[in-house]
Amino acid sequence: MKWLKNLENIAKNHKSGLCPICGSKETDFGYSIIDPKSRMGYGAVWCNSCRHAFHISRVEVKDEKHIKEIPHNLIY
Amino acid sequence: MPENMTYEEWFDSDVLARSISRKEANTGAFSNLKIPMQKRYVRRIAEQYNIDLSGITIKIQRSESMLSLTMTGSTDYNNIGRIDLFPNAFIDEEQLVKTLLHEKRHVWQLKTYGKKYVEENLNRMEEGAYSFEDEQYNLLKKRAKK
Repeated sequence: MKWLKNLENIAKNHKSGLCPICGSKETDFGYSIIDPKSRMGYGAVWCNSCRHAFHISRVEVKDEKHIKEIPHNLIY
Repeated sequence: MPENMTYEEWFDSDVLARSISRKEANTGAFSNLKIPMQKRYVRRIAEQYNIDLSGITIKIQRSESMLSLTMTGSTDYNNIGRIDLFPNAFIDEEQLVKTLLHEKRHVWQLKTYGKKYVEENLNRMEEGAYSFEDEQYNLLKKRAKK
């Protein structure tokens, strides 16, 4: 899994780290809630330089700071 | 190791478990997870709930740091049929079953609609996957073999 280190970085220090595809530092991550009651939703880690991304498909969203609009033109 | 198995298949197989009397529960940082993080338990529970895993490749991510992230699964958009399970999928049977159903739905979506359409309609795809997991879980748990 190419984005595993990025997920580990997010878990450890809330930073998404270098893009595993192009090496850019311009990465970001965010979550979107599908069910407000259970707070289950999805997320993504993406690179703003090359637009490659990793889709997190099933997650309980607890990280309020990173609930945001996930860009639409990403390459998963 | 049997010649017809990869190392990963061997690690997760009953063959190895029998040969070294491997523990039946998670240990260390994973000890609070009720379901052992092994493919044979995933397959066993899927069978109990009558979830067909044919054509699905399961990968278990065993990174301890992932425990603090609340994600349970992901579906590979490029290697369609691959599902990754994260440690929190193993919290209990319900989480594991719902995660398998959810990710299987994404595999179906990718095969049915294609990657491009799924990428462009993530919100709708997720709504569909959550509806599917709820409906199917409620149905299958009543019929599950104990």
